[in-house]
Amino acid sequence: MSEFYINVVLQGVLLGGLYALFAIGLALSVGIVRLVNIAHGDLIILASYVLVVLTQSFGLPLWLSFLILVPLMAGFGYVLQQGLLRHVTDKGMLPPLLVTFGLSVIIQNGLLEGFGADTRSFSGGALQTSTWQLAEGIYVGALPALTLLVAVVLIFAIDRLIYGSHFGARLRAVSEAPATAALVGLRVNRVHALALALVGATTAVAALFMGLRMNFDPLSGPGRLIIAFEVIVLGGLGNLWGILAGAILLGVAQSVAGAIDVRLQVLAGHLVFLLIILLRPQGLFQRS
Amino acid sequence: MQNDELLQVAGMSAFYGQFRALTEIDFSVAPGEIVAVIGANGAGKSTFLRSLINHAGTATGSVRFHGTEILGKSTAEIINRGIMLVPEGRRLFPSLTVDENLRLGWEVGRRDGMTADEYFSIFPAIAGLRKRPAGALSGGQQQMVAFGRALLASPQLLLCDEISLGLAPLVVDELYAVLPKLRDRGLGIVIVEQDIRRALKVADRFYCLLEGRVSLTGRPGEYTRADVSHAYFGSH
Repeated sequence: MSEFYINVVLQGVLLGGLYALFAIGLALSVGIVRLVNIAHGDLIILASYVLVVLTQSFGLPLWLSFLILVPLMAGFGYVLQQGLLRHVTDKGMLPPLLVTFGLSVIIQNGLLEGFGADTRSFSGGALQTSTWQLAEGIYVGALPALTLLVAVVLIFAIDRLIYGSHFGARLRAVSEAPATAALVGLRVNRVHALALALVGATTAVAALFMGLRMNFDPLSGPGRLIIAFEVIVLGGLGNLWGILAGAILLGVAQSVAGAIDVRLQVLAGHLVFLLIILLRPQGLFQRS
Repeated sequence: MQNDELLQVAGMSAFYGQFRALTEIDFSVAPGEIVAVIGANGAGKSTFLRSLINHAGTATGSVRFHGTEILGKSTAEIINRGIMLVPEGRRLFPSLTVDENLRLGWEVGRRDGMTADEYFSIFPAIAGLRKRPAGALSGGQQQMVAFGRALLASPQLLLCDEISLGLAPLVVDELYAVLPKLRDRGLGIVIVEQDIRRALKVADRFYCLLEGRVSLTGRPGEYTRADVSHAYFGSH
């Protein structure tokens, strides 16, 4: 019986890896560009469909498609900011919400038009089926473990980029005081666009692992967005490692509740989120 | 004659929407010259400085830097050409370290002038604080870092907005002692200052603004205090 719950918790932890991948990009959007991007989930779904095209229409292997997808999405993020979002980033809270909401609707309907409503997923061969036995009766799947590992590596890399590089100092300066940044000659729009390029690259990673682990369809974006939102609110914006902790917490809550009654799974995640918001509105790991 | 000037402003007006903040300003700075802009609160001093780097309302007229028209160019481009502002209130990035704040100045500038080492030799008090967040520094130290951020952008024209505001007199003395050294390196310097006596002591020339117009200009010794006071407060 105890093995059962250890397995359940372990799966929740690993699910947290996927949720962290959903959330990293949104955390960067909100934290650096101050852009609450309602279309974040849809960007992940859009990236997944680009993978569908590359693998199925062009017949490329999944790994090669992914290597093409990363710069494609980074470029898309850059162009999105320079072409569209720059016009609303310094206009207060509401205009970015409205514009990204519109973007969300456009992406969803565009994908429905182009691909239909069928659910899709990627085939990852042995990666999806192999499991390791950690101890008597305790198993982890290779793919969930790899997902968590990738999330940890990605967070580490982005943390080093932001807190340990000259480019990161520019990101922090623009995030902290955009008006001052402009006053001393930083090209704020360009820095924002590069941040959105980084966001785009993370959506490519999220898209790959999401499509390997679950089905998606053109309307799956908002579901991913809710998860990403809850994760960054739990983790707090000041600390990237908080994202991982928030994601794992959410994953474990869903996994444990799902083991008790599968209908509770999603609800339990939201309830844990609400409970923690009540107790610690600044998030669990806000860096002071 | 005109080509000797570093900065040549002719007939510049500045507007915030319908409101005219500056009217037909004529102004010049030569290399190696300190020019003070004095005037009462709301006379348009800060607006004038910020208009020079296109960071205040909309300006009309002409602003030539090294003979090239820069009016209407972006702030980033103007700074990159060699004009840098030490903003009022210091305006550092508080969570960034001193080094990171300084480095940003280097990155936005021409990268061919003062190095960090030279800066630290002028402000040795800052050398020991390089890894500290700028927000943890005292007001005077922050002002020195704000100076450094501007100097590392390798400006040929340095604009200083109210650098004495809110600082202890000893610190202000130290900052003002640096200005002649910078002038001797050939920089043109514009200081906007409420403290008239201090400004006129260090300046080679001055302009007095009154309600957005130049009400008096010349060398500090040329006029009596009554002249300056009249230009400063108007004929009320």
